[in-house]
Amino acid sequence: MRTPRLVVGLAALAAAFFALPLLGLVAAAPWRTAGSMLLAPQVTRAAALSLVAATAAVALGTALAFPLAWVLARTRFPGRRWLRGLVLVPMVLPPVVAGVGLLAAFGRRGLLGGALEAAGVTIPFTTAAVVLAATFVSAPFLVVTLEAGLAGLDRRLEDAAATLGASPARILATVVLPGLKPSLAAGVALAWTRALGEFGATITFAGNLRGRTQTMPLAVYEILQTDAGAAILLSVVLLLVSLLAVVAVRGGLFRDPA
Amino acid sequence: MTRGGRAAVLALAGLFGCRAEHSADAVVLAAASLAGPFTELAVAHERAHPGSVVVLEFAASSTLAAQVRAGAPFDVLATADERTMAEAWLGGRVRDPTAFATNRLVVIVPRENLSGIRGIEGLARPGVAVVLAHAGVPAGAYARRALLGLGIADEVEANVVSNALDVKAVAAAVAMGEADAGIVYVTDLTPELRQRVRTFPLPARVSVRALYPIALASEPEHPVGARAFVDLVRSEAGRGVLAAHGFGPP
Repeated sequence: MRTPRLVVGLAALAAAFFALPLLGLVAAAPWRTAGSMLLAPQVTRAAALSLVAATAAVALGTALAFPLAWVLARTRFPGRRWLRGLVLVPMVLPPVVAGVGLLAAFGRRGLLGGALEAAGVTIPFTTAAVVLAATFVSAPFLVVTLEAGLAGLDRRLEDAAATLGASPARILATVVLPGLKPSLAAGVALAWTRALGEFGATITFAGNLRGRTQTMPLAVYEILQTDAGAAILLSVVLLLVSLLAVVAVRGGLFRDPA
Repeated sequence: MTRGGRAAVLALAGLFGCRAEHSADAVVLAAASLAGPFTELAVAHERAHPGSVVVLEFAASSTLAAQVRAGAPFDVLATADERTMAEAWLGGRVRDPTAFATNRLVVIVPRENLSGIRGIEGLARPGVAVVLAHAGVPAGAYARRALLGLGIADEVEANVVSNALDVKAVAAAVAMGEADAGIVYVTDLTPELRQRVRTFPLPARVSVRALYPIALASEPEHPVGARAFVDLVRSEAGRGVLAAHGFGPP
């Protein structure tokens, strides 16, 4: 079917709805003083922390998501739907609730608090807490994309490789992982940008300390109270980085029509 | 109908533009520390003007000042210090600011007090996990002024594990036992919080007194309601409610 003009028109309106706030930010940003604002120590430290934490969160998230996605896509057991719901719920949970939950689990008085303390580990208000908070809210994106990817693979290829004597590790490396590349890339992009924008769970679980737990979103919030222009500029930067990350990933969930 | 119910009706009605505005409606932006007394005063206002609704928003004064400067609609602004009010006033967004209450600081530690802190000097001991309000938030600025006065500002700053976005978040971090100590207002000591923390007053030689100004919006959406609410806050009854929550007279 040819795309009706009405749909194109509505799509244009919808695009405007998403584009206007972004354009508003770009228009409101004080570009003339951008250089000094972006190079302020508070900003560079927050940016570095954000990049490191989001990347670490995606690495940890992939390690957690891969086995989960495999089990969800390829095994049948009672409670499978509940397991999927459980690992996806952080996507829709208010982030502050996620932060309180993380405290209740890994905080000093949390479920694992005693064990962690015995091991000499304190997590809240540390950079590790930033990574955990980001992982908790972003890994579900990897579970979703990887599960869809695994479900879409042609298992006959794996069976054929097995028949030819390939070991499970070899099948994983030469058949499964190459086939998963598009969905992994999509999941990484979504999870990384979600981790980059994380605010509520971070402020609750990791707190707000420059150089240690103050990520870009927290810096934006803090700076907004004193210098709205600088905060807007930082928002534009965050936005462009996220946009680039999402656009850079083609294929996967966003496969372009041939 | 409950307060929450009425607020929901107001929000829904506002969404569809169908609730008849009541002349005594008011949108009140207030410092987080004012949540207790202002919630009570809003009920009193709504009782005195049947059918009216007071919409309350509580946040750090600095956050409210930033919202106001950015053009958020409101009728009344009440902050926890003069600086944030001055910002709103310099921006031409409020008029006639007047002081209506004062507040004092207090050190809180978790009930178990595992770190054995016995007063504000304890916050300077190495290894104590301290949470303060962010320095741009009035409670954070007052706390640092007190610490400067005692000559332990640098030591305590080195112990700060988080600069909370408002004073209630400081109370929460200590109440949950995640921080060893924090500095909040005496008025933050609700009965629930008292059950979970121990308190230590500041030494008498620290004379940090928080002064709370209230002001009308320069262009209020509800001039009648705004004026009525400010008058209520400053009335004998208003002073009584504030005093019951631990606030002092200006």
